[in-house]
Amino acid sequence: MRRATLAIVVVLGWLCTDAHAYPQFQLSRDQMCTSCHLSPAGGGLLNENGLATAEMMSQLGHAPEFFYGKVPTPKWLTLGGDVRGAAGYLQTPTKSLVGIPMQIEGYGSAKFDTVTIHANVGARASTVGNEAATYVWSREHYLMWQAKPRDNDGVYVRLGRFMPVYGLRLAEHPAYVRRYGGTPLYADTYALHGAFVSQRFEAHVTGFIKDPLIDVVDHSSGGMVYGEFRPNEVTLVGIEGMVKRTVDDTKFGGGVIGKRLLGSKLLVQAELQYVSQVITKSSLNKADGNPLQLIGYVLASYFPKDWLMIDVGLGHYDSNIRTRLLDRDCIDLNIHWFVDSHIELIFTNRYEMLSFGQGGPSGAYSLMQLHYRL
Amino acid sequence: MMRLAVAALVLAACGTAVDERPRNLDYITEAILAPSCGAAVCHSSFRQADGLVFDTVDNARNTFQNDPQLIGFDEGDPTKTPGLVLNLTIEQAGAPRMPYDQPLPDADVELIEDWLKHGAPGVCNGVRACLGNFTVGCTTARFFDKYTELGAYDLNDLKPANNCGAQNKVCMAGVCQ
Repeated sequence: MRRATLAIVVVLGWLCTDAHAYPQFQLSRDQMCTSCHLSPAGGGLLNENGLATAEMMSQLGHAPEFFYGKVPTPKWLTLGGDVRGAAGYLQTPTKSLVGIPMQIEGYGSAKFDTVTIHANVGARASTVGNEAATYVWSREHYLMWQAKPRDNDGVYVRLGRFMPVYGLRLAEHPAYVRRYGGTPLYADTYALHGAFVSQRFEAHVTGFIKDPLIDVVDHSSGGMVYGEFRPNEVTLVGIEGMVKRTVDDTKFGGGVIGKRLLGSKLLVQAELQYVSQVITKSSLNKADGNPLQLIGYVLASYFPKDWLMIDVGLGHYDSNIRTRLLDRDCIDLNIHWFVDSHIELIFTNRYEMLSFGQGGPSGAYSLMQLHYRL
Repeated sequence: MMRLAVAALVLAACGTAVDERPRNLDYITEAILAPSCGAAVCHSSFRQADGLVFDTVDNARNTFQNDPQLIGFDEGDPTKTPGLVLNLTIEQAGAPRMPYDQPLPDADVELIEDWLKHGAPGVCNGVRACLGNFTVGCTTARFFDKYTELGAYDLNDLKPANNCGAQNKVCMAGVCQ
């Protein structure tokens, strides 16, 4: 009975999500994340251009504003939200039919010239044994200063709780570069983020601490740097580095990123990370054999219609390249149908192998996800 | 891109054939349990699914100490499979094989099994075996003496593991309790 409960809880909680943007739209729609999003890291609330893009790239259109424009807000206030759920088949290797409530979050952003106050509130998977106090939380809340408040470029500084800026920032948190890289699901924490954003170049520096207020997912404090350069309108190259330290280990990571728009309908992007994990020495652990990890993801996105995006991704993760048969590879197929300005249907699929079948059982899932943006 | 992918695959095939990774709680937790089991909505401090937490060494130690059947062998049947290994290898009544979102490599499961066969060093802070009816008792603790070269125990605590006799007595630092 106890184990049966565990199975249901995990199924209900798994594949939750946060408000990441689609990096597939960078280069294919615009050059910078800030062209469409209020946050310099992308994701979350849309600006005026972002709303227009959401309408233009949906099949049925409709007013893209908050609640279809039926709830007018003053110019300084932006409201929004996301509701997501998924259902489908999972085989890892236990075969299951699953239903997954993923996200119910509302956002508010109040802008006063150069200063913006941003906060969200939403449901979360509660902590077992402390349910009453942990059903609702504010995953993000921060104060932002923007040097050029009427433009989408320039210097930004954020202080508060948010996800440190690192890598491709894919929306799909099961992507290895997120899960095993620096930004797993709910790794949002208190941080100071400085960014410089321009048409050709952008840089992000984030220092963060372990959240002292709640029981966390990520116990680390540290720093991340990320920079990208766009030599032309269809090419992007980037580099990244991080240090994450907990009581138990320190991770030193670095990586490279590339993105290229081929024609007008095909975008290819890739990220390769190398992580050295140093497990803290103790009388028991002599710190021999510290894991050296390799994490990679290549994603090709095809846009046959404005309202249709087909992603094919290849992932690779080796949890310790010093030991054989620890690597895993996956192929993802995600089909996004942007039904109207607010509604998205995603058919998401993965097949995953351990050392190409030699390292253990293979896994797979096939899920239909519904996303409604308020 | 293709060259990077090929290079990654080549690197992945370069590991040693013999698994030389450490067998202690610190390593097992940080290299295997935390990234595979301690994820956001599973056995993290954030979620604590089923009351089990594997995202830090201290939390994993507390989990195992509170639920020793996860790691212990039945004193009357030293070959009995610990609950942790069962959870990681087979589908049980009403419960899926863990981790639920993606399989764990066989090599990681074997390393965990090997660690448990060595008395789960680290769970009891230098004590050779855990408290509880399902843990290694004094009669079987002798078996583990030969593994002391692994650095699993504080040598100052090692004393002859005499037969404790009565059931449910346990051996801590070589002394019957």
